[in-house]
Amino acid sequence: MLKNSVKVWKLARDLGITPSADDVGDIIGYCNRRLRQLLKEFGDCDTLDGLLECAAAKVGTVFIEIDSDQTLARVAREYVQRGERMFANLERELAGEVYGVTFRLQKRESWEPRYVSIIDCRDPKAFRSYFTKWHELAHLLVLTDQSRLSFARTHDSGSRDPEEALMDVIASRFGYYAPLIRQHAAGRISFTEIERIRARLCPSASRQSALLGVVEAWPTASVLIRAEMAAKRGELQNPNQSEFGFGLAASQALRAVRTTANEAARKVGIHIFPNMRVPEASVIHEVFDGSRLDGQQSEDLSWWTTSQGRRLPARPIVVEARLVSESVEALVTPLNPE
Amino acid sequence: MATAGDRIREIRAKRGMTQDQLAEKAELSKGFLSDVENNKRNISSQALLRIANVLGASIDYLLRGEHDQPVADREPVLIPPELSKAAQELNWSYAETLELLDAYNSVVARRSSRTVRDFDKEDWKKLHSAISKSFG
Repeated sequence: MLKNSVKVWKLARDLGITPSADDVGDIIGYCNRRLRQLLKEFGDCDTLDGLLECAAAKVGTVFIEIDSDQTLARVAREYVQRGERMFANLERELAGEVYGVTFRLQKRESWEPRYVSIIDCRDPKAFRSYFTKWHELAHLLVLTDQSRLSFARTHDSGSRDPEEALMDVIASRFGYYAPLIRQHAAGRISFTEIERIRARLCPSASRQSALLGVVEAWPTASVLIRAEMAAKRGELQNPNQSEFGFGLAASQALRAVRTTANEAARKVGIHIFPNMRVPEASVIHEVFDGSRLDGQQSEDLSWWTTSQGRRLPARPIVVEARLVSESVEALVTPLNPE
Repeated sequence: MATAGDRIREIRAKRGMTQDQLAEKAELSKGFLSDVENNKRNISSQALLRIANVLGASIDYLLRGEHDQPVADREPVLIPPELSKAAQELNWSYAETLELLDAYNSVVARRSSRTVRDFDKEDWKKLHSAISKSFG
């Protein structure tokens, strides 16, 4: 979707990026250069929370966390008193599923930061606050002129706005900035290691987003899987088809409903396709069945077969699995990481 | 030529803060802050960032004295049709309508899990009403 988006193409041109076949990659490269420059300036910045703070200062924004309705009312009042008209509408701005809003201040001293980013940390939005900050920051990293902004705010009524989706890509890339994570990543990835890194580098991030972000940034091949009971893909699209006339339920099985392979895994060809059936012999099954809460075991990638019966290439792997509510999260890594 | 220390002292005074208060909030020793303000010691970027956050000042201003350049006005001004309708219906003046549009355009980014639709006439009326309530 992003690859063919006119909005993304226009954003790349507005940023002065030479046209290429990969505007998304080029925009990420642009942000990367900005962040590298920033890290040079803040040489003593060695955590992700620190990077967030430095980046915010450099793009000229301040984060204000709203943890209650009272805080919301107080912040709105304070900015209204300073003459910021849009803050009169702050409560409505944060209604529904809006997690954060960035305002360009209209009545500020020339030495004050140009923006303020209001982050909704009230329940149930609180756990997304770290990612929301990076999303707002992503907008400011690629901010050009007002005319493109008004363009960016014209949203389609159907699918998600491509520019917003791109901001999420930038947020996940830099919210879990690989060069910083790799300073602390050693050996095989594990749930314990991911949590240790989260606690050290970005304690304000949610466990779920850290899980995804750290896997993506890990230097050696790692695949994250979420396994749940699910039907075959065709049956998912047409859930009543198999029931028609026969009363048969769709063939539910434990499947990898969501998979994330990091760059190193993609390079060495370790990839488990979404909706593949979890092998009966896998520790993932054992954990799902409840015979243990978590576990790790040596397995082989060739245990995984596609719906056409094709086996994945043989390769010794290590699978670590843990039960999370109604599903199982698993980390798949090669037995001998390259 | 003014230094970072000079600018810290200048903004601190504008904010009506004492060295003690700023040092405490920025988790620095008063002696260190005093030395920085008097150009006797250099300050790390991290410490400067903490001071910037406490003072509500731009880090680039403290570091280099860079004032933010005002953004040039957009030309031509495009009034969205729905705003135009609301303005006609409620008889808002051109200046009032532009002020409303400026306020609306001060939102530069928003994160939402759903597609955010453009303002319709009723949204513009509600925004006008909220601003009028606060600003008269």
